[in-house]
Amino acid sequence: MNRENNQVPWIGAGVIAMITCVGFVVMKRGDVPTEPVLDSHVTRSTKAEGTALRPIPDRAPMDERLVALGDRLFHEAGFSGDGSVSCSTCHDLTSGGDDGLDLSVGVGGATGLRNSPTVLNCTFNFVQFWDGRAVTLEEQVDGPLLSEVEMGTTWERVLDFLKDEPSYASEFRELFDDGITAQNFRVALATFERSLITPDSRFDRYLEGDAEAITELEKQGYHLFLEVGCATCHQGVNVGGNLYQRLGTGTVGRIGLSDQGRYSVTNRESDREKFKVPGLRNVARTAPYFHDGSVAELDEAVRQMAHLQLGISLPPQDVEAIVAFLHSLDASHR
Amino acid sequence: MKHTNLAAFSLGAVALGAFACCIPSIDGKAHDRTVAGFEELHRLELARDFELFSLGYGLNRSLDELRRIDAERRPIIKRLLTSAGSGVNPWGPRLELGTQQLVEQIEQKGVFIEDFVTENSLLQHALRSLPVVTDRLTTFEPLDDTELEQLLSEVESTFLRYGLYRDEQSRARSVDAQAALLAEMESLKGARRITVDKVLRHTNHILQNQGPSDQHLRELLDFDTARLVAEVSGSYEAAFDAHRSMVHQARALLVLGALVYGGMLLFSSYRLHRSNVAIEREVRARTKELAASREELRTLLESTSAVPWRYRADRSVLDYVGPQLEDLLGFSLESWTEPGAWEARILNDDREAYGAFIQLLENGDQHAEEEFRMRHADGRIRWVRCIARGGVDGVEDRTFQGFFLDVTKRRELEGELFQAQKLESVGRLAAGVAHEINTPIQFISDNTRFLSESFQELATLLLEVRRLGEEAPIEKAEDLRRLMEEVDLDFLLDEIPEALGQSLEGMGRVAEIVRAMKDFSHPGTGTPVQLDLNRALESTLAVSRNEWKFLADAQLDLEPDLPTVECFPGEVNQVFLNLIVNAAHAIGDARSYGGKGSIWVRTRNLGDFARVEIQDDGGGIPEAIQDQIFDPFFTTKEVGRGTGQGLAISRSVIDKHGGSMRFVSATGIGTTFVIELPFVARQLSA
Repeated sequence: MNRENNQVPWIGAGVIAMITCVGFVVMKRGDVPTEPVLDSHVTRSTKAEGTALRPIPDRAPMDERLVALGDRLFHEAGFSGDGSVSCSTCHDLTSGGDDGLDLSVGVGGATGLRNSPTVLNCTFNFVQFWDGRAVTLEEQVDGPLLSEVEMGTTWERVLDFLKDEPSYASEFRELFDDGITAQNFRVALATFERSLITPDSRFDRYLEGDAEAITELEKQGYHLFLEVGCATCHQGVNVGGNLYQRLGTGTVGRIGLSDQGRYSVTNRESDREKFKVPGLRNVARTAPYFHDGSVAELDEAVRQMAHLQLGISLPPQDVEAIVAFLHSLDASHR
Repeated sequence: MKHTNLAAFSLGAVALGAFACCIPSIDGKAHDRTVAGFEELHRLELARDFELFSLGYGLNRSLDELRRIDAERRPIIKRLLTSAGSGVNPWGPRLELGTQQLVEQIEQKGVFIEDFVTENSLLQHALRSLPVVTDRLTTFEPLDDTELEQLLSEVESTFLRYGLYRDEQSRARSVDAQAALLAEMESLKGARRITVDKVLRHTNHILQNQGPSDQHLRELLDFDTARLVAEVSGSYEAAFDAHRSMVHQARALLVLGALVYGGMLLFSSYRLHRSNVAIEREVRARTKELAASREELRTLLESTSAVPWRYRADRSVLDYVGPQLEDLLGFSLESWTEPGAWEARILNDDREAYGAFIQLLENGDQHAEEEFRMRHADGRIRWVRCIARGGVDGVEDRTFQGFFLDVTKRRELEGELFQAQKLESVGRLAAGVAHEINTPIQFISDNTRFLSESFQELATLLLEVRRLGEEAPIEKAEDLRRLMEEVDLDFLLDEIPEALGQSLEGMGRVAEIVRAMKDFSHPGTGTPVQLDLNRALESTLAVSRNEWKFLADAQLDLEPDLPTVECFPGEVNQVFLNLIVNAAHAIGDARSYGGKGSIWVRTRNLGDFARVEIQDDGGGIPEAIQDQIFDPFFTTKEVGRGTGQGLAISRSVIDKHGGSMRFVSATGIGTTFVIELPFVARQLSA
């Protein structure tokens, strides 16, 4: 009993010490400096300098399970309006990432208004769609999915379909805490699409120093491409895909399109008849050409572009050389 | 501590706790992320402006860098907007709005940039194409026209200068050069004209667009989003600093409060300690008092003849007995705590009563009392009264406690009283009977004596008659003689006096017994009387004659002229009777095969005391039991013959009279009881 009594002052002192410690800890909390977090899915490539065209960089590391799930979704027709159309219907990865049609055919045989662009290297496009109405690949997903003339479905239908399929449910659960959601669907699909790049084309090897990688004709075509001015717009990693340009700049006066391009998105007068400049990677495999798929042959497309945009008539040998060069941009995505 | 103090302390603790909870936290990580986000945004805006400048001056031929900046900015803006919308300190509506406006500005600038990029790419194309086209014109188709060559060279150099300086003078010179070339073109034909036309288209484009493009670029560079970022970031940091200093002040206040509270706690604990010390002192004193009073109580409890005990029926153990028990029953205290010790020390005859007693308690009776005979360590028997309580609060089940009381004395007294009362009534009866017998015996005796004396005279008469008859004539005396022969007169004359004499002797004896009975059963008067011991002994022998006459002869050796002894004669006679009967029994036991023994009764005058010896020649008392024979209830006799009280009562009677009683015994020879009684008793009371 006596011993316990003697402890009372010590307990008191302990309480004070504890309170003081807690106070200081509380004061110190929150002052801990932390390093800034920066994540960008776009790989920093070599500094952009005078060179107009640059090789495709190595693929950024990404979750391969997510890529695999996106791959599966990309090829899944089950959740489309009539269960017949998948992403790969119009973006056939085995033939240049598009469908070879002037205007794509969606559910119930409906046709769209514009030519399907290739999905290959789409990650290097600064915006998505011909009119840039989606900034990111995730935003882009909703477009074809919900379009009545493309996949013609609804998110409800998509998610119900996925939930009814146990293997999807388990794959989503494995990758996402909240399982099957529209956003997770978008992330998976976009991640897969980011993986669809085509590095190591012959031209890229040439750019990286292999002088023998392309033929003399192709080299000649490359110099013409720069000289004539194609590279004014078709520059960068994707040989285009990083600015809007008005169709018909080279001609005096307007060519009068029914498709107003970016204007339909922004309603700004200056955006009238502007389209995203498409990247020319794998261009030899993505016929037909232009936003309306109106030109079937690549040499014709080159000729028309030189006329419409640059206001020049290219001699046939120049067209041939440029077409040859464009072929050297081909590469497989795997 | 008082309740109010306690309440005050609790309130203090709660208040401190509540205050601590109210202090907003500082999320250092979030803050660092936000600051880093602003810094990154600022860096990206500067980089974008630099990129625009590069593009505007044709230093960069790819737009990838601009797009990379755009892509990099996107997640940073998203994070900043999320943070701003979270409402977490130091974010507030004003800051959030500022951030949203900043983002809108940045995006608005992005829209303007797209226009610039589109136009600028064409302008740059024209600027780049101009020397290419002129070179082509001069390289692949050698000109013989030096004037044209000079004009083209002039155009190329003036436009190059204009592209670099972009001032009015360069422009004016470029305009002049173009006009000169235009004038020259009129004179040209064919492919050359077409090429010059191409050159002029480029120069036209440059002259038309360079100015607006520069203006556009200036506007974009004046649209200083980097500064806006710095401003918003600054106000964010100011808000954060204000928030942090507020939190720090609150924490300082909390620490101060905690210190004050702790001080109060310390002071209180000191006071508590002090009061505890005082209380402890008090408690020690009280404990001491209590212990003393307990000790007193215990002493009291253990000093009386009532022996406290506690019995645990579950283990059949007395787990506590008062130390007096050792005095009462001789056994060591330790031996009592062995299982079954109690029961084992109860006389066999009383075990049943003991069982019932325990059962009563087990059944839940609160109170039980019983008396048992228990054996003392030395073999003697004690009557012990057990007073027990069961089912006491605070005591475990099947645990009983109570007292042992030694009631041997009371039992003895009760036995004596009983005996005395029995004797008293027997005495009264005997006295009555003796009195009733005395009177008839008196006149029977007188009449017989009269008959005896009368027969003497009658015999004289009859002898005379017989003589006359023998002398008288035969005929006349024949009847008489025959009659005399018939009644056998001689025999009658011999026998009648003898019969009468014997009757008189018998009657004398009856009278003697009656008198002895009267003496022996002298009714108790409650006061001592003078008793002639010799006569008392004779009387006793007489009344007990039936007990001994077939077994022994009484040999009297009485001191003549023995003074009387002051005593209660009834009790003293009882003692003598006991001893005589015991002597007779002893002789009887020893001589079961027949033959008579002897009982010697002696009296002597020892001056102050009269000594009485009663000796037998029976079997003697075995040495083993010599110590016990005076114990109450000790008997060697078969059940029903003796109560075991005789010698004990005898001794108590002699003790009461201030005398002594002892014995000498030898096996096979006999026993002599010696009683010494004072002639004058002191303080003798019934």
